[in-house]
Amino acid sequence: MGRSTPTFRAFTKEWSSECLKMMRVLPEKERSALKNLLDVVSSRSDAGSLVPSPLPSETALILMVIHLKAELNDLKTAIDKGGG
Amino acid sequence: MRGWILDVHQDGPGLVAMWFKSETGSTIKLLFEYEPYFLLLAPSWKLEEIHERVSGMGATSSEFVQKSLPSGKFKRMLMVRAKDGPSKKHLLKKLLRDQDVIAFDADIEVERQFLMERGLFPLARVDARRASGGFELQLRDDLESLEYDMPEFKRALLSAKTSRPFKTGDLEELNLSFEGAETISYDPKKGEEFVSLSDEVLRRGVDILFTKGGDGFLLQSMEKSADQLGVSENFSLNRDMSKMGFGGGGFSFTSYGVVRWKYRPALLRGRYHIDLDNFMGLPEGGLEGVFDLSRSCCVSVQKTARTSIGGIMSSLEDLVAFKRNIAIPMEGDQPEYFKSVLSLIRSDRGGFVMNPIPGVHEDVVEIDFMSLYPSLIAMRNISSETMRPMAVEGDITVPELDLGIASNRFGIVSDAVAFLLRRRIACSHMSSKEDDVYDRRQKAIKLILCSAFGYLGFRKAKFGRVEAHMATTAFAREALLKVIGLAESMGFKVVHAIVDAIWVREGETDHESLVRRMSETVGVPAKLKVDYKWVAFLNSRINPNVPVPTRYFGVTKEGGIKVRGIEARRNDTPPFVSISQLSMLESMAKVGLDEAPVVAVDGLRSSLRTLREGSVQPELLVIRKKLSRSPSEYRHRVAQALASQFIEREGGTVMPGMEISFIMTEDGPQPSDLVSSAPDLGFYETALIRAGHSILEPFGFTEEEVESKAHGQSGLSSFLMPRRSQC
Repeated sequence: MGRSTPTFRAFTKEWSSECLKMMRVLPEKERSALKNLLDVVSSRSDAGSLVPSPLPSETALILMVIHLKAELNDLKTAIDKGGG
Repeated sequence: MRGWILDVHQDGPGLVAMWFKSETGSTIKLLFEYEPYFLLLAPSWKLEEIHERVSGMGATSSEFVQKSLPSGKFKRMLMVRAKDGPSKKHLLKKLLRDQDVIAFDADIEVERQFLMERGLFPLARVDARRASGGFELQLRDDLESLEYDMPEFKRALLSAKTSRPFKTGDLEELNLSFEGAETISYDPKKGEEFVSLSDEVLRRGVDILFTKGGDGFLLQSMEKSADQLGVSENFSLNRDMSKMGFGGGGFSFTSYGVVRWKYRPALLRGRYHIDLDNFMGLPEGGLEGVFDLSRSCCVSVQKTARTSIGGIMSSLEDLVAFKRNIAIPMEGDQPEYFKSVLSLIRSDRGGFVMNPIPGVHEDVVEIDFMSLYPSLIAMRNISSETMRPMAVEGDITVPELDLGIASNRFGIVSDAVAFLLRRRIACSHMSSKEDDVYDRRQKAIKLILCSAFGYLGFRKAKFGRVEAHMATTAFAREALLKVIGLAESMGFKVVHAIVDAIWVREGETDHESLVRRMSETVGVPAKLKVDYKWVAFLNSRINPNVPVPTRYFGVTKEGGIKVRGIEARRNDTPPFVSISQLSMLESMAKVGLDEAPVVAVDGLRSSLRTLREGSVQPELLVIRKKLSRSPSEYRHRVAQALASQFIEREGGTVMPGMEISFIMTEDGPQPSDLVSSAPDLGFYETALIRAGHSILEPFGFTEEEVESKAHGQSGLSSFLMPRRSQC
């Protein structure tokens, strides 16, 4: 018997290698941004695995958005502190 | 007379031999009339028809019995007996040609069936007395008991020297060593020496004969040589001097994605042959563990020592079913319930893993549950026959999934697991020190418990069902998520969690409270496993920005070290690299965290110096690898392919699943027994630097930085400021 569906971690690996194809045409700074966002999805595969879905790419995109929102919050806090 | 059941085996048609070891030390063979059986289930008219004709097909008797199916339904079945194991098999094969006929209790070995039908078990203490036409046995033992007496076994070790490496060529010398270190040597070129060896084993009353490679090579070679020298009639290691008839060889199989090799067992009659090269229990519970499992699962000692952990679990489940009058199916026949894609994706998941926060963390405790999966199986009554596709009223409901578990009857698997759990907990309480007899027993039981969950999902498991497997992981995920929330609510920072354990940074509350609350919340005892002074979690080697759960190391508050997933824990790491890495960690354990990288680099430099000076013993450079395929089937010229091809050229036999050992030399990999060239220092230097990098990476250093520091003589100040985790 055993597992018949891939883990979110395995999906992420496959999906990341697909997305990395975009790197060929992206400008340098966007390449590193893409790599960074894909690493975020891999690092948060534990959270992704809690939301089993036939379309795991949706979960992966949500993880990217969460990361960006957290970074924005950090920036906002830093700006507020600097401004205060 | 009172004594123990040493061994049981078929001894000709309709006869079973039981070797009885009396309290006075004598061992005698008792013969019992016994015919093994199997059960048949078919439409009623067909069973009647089989009942009529089965005696003409070789059965010795047949009768109708009421037996329960695993599902709980009682059925009228036909119990057919045959004169011995091979006749039973032959008869069954003929009867199963009819597709309406299903067999039960059919693949249980004759000796197990004999014991199970009489309520006996291996190594049970019994009273034997002469009765009309044979012997009568009365059990003076309790299977549940942990305080049982064992006979005094007489032990001997048989070893051999061969003319060529890799256990090939001719036997050159045979050595028989007894307790007290007395060793007798025999010349295998002389027939009379074989006779004298078997006479000595008989005269000394050896109960346990240890060998190294007895299954795969030694006993078969001895038998062959004795035959060639014309003394086969007078040479045997069986206690009754009957012909041994070992075929030798073995077979490859795949388990959990790993190709393994297993030698065909060379089982002796009237004494135990324990092949230390083919002994599953040695690293865990030793012989005491094997004896305990043999008793508990009613499997002969020699077979227990060689059976896979899944095989032992399956035998115990058979025993549980037998005692409850449940017919034992030949193999699992439970098809998976129909599921929608979404339901399959939701169900088909493993344990929860919360990725570690990479870097170094101070004051961390690791807390884990004792036997979480087996406890959940036992507590939630998880077994193939208790699972339901949809929960109904009164059922135990499975979190996240629609599945239900019947709570109105005990499951076979959950009963078997509960028995082992009770036994393990009792042994743990009775153990007063590491490695005493109770500790060894609990270690052996632990090993079997580890297989309980995996075996539920094994497609051939008689009482397995994939939904039972899915339910177990669902309960475990729920338990782990609950304790993560609990720890955070108590002010702890969770730095990592995996399946049944969490790593938390100490907070305002003491960790004892967390351990207690975890046990209460889940209903399974939790315990503090390691109290770390600091622990370091590593990133993936392939992607250094992504953490991996299984690579970490740490220093405990007592100054000990714990490592997982790094070179020192890998079987294919040369001992010199493992020792060097552990020595670096030991140095790090002795100093403060700020100094730790400095002493690690010092250790790395020192190991590199030793390597370059050529003062490393060759055996410390040996690499051990398991072959995943035959030597000729490797497509790439990887080291293990080249080394195994070398062994074949030298006349050795290498098969998929076998482990080979070799040294990397300037002329490529050479088998460790036949090294003729100087070691490839560059290869070992790279391995050493990688091992150094593994323990310096969490402090923020790249492999290039580690390499330059290891080769350089200065610049140590940069190590004085380790980069710690930002959590």
